[in-house]
Amino acid sequence: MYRLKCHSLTVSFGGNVALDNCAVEFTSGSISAVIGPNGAGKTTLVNVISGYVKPSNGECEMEGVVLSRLHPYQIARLGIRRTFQVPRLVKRFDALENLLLAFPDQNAERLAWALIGSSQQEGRNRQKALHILDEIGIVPDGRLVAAMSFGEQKLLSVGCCLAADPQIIILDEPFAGADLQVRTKLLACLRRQRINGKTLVLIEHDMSVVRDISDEVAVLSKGKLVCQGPTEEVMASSEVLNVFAGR
Amino acid sequence: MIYILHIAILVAIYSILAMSLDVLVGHSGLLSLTQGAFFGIGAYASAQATVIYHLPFIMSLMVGMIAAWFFSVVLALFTARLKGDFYFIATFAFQLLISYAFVDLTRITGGPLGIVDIRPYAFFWMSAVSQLDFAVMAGLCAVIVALVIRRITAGPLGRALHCIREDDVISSGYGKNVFLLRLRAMAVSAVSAAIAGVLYAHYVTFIDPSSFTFSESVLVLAMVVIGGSGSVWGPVVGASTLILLPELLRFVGLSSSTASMLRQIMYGSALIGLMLWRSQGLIGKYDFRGDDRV
Repeated sequence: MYRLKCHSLTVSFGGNVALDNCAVEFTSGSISAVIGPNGAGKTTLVNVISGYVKPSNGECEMEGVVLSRLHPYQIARLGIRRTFQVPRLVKRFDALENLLLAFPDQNAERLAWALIGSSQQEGRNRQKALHILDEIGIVPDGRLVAAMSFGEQKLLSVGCCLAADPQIIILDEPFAGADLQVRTKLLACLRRQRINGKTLVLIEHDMSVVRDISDEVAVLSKGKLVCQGPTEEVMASSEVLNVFAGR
Repeated sequence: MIYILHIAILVAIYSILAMSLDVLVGHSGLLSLTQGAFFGIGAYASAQATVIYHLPFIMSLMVGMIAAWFFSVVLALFTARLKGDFYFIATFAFQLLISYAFVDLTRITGGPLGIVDIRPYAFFWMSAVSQLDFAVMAGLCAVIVALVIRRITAGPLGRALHCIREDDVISSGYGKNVFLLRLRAMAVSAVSAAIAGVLYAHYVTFIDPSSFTFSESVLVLAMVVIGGSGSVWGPVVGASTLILLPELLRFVGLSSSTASMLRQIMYGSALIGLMLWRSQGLIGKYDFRGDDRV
């Protein structure tokens, strides 16, 4: 069963075609890796799914809802959360505040509630946030994000996705620049999410990670889908070798 | 004593104005030049409600706040897609538009002659008759506005506003409607500025367009820059500094024209000095040069 489906996606920036009639599907409750050389259109695909880039042709849909017509915040509210290659966090907040920010539907973000509402929801969110910090292995010691290591920031940005309890989590190169300790924590965290029934889409260059964790792989090259299927099948195919060898 | 109380009233009114601007500049990252306009909208709406419709002060205060809220929504709709410099320029245009409206819409605003005989303010059973009463009421309003702004900015709404200040891409990625958040910040700012305008109109009992010009917006912005943004105290310190410092010139024995020119030089020098050596203002949280933004 497919949870997220994109078809005929075409995106160009000026004269550069980033996605060229690209069609890709992600299975529910699995970890799907999207691989390809630099400039293959992987991040553009993620930007289209999350609504930051509008395709000139084609569309993405999740369970019948066409995402391409929605704003990024509406897509996030549908249950699709993403991370960025370089972690985008509020650098002058600490880890806990960043997580509290990431919770959806916060009553106290409404003006009237902010003035006269109770703080019960905030208390509940705080408890959940502490639980997520524990899950991703970050100690809530009050350090600002600006003082955290790159790896910790990567972990925290994954944690911020989890705060929304989303259906689909899209991770743009989560292992890039991460040391062994962070990689181990991340891998454990992603496996737990799969067990919890989440659909994960992973953009990744590290083939060992792809082999280790993903259930299926989609290979992109020059904006087109080259092949998609179970990890072992795709990784053994000559098409993958051709793509990375530039043939 | 009356002179000291007069200065205290001005400090209270301008503190409210500076705090209102800080909701945009400090907490939401929206550099704005509209405070003079909303100051005027509050003053004119309340003055007309009192003079024409003979509404009690508390009702005319509500009229002033609602008028400012309405115009803030209009401004938010027109500037929804604007960021940074473009938003700043749009607010400048809004300020000019409202300034000219105060002069040209003579049937509503009285034109250059303004509105006279505005009743002094009174809260319920308290009627402001002496200068001390005025000072107490203005101070009370400033404290209430400070507490309300503090409550808003210290909670989840304030956190969300800080987020759009740093990076609105993250905000939308977290499912937050950036337009609505900006609208809320602009509404709080405009309504607070209108409260200052209402207090001003009912204190001086006469208003004309010269009190709500572009220069007024620049002055309020200078208060936030000098005092520092991102906290309640920064704008209060900025307002106090820029109200009190020029008053010191009175005791030097300069003529009013010379003192007026010196005042402008002082503002300019203070701003340049702070930008060079203390760009977060006297007690501010954020650096206006943007060095602390990541």
